[in-house]
Amino acid sequence: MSEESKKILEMLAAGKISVADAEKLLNAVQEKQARPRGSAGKPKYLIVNVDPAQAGGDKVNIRIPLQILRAGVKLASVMPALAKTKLNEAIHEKGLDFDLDKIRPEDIENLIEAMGEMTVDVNDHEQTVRIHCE
Amino acid sequence: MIPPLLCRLTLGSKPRGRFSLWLPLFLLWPLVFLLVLPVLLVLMLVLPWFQEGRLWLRAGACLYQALCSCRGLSVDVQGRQDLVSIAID
Repeated sequence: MSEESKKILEMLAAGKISVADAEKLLNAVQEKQARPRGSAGKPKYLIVNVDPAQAGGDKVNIRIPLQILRAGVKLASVMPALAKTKLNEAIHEKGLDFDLDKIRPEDIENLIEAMGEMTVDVNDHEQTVRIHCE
Repeated sequence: MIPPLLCRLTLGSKPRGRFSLWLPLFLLWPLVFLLVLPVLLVLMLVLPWFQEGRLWLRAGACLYQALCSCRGLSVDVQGRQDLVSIAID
């Protein structure tokens, strides 16, 4: 029996939760344990799908390995200061409050992990754009 | 860290049909490696003596990593008439 299941039963015994709540929590714990390890891991690809609203439009599917992001961050760390300054200026000109100097590899790992649960859907009269990770 | 081994290029248009081109990149790497190795060895001996040289070496390693991370990249564009698909494995 896992620690989580024991805690749920202890809470039930102490009268802190009802039988129905305990059943729900135990089911959730069982589902979590039954889930394959890979599915809970970090995403590997960023997927961009563009579907036309009307037949005959351009359909675009792009799959980008997130490893490129990691390599890009490492490349940015060895970039000469002058080039980095120019890039930062260009980014600021586009209206993005973003600084290449502030990106750290551990931040990227957190970002990639968080992106696993991210889905962006944009619908307009011409096309549907869907961005997600898998 | 393995560089891309295969590039699959598919082009097509409705009246003409489509064709796929499989580019065996794995045949290219040994050749590139043999050509680049002597230059790389010299650079690895010389560059560490300079302040900026170390940066260049690190940049080279990062570029190689970026190249390797391209595996799995895939772009498909399908229009009314034409189809273009590039996949790097």
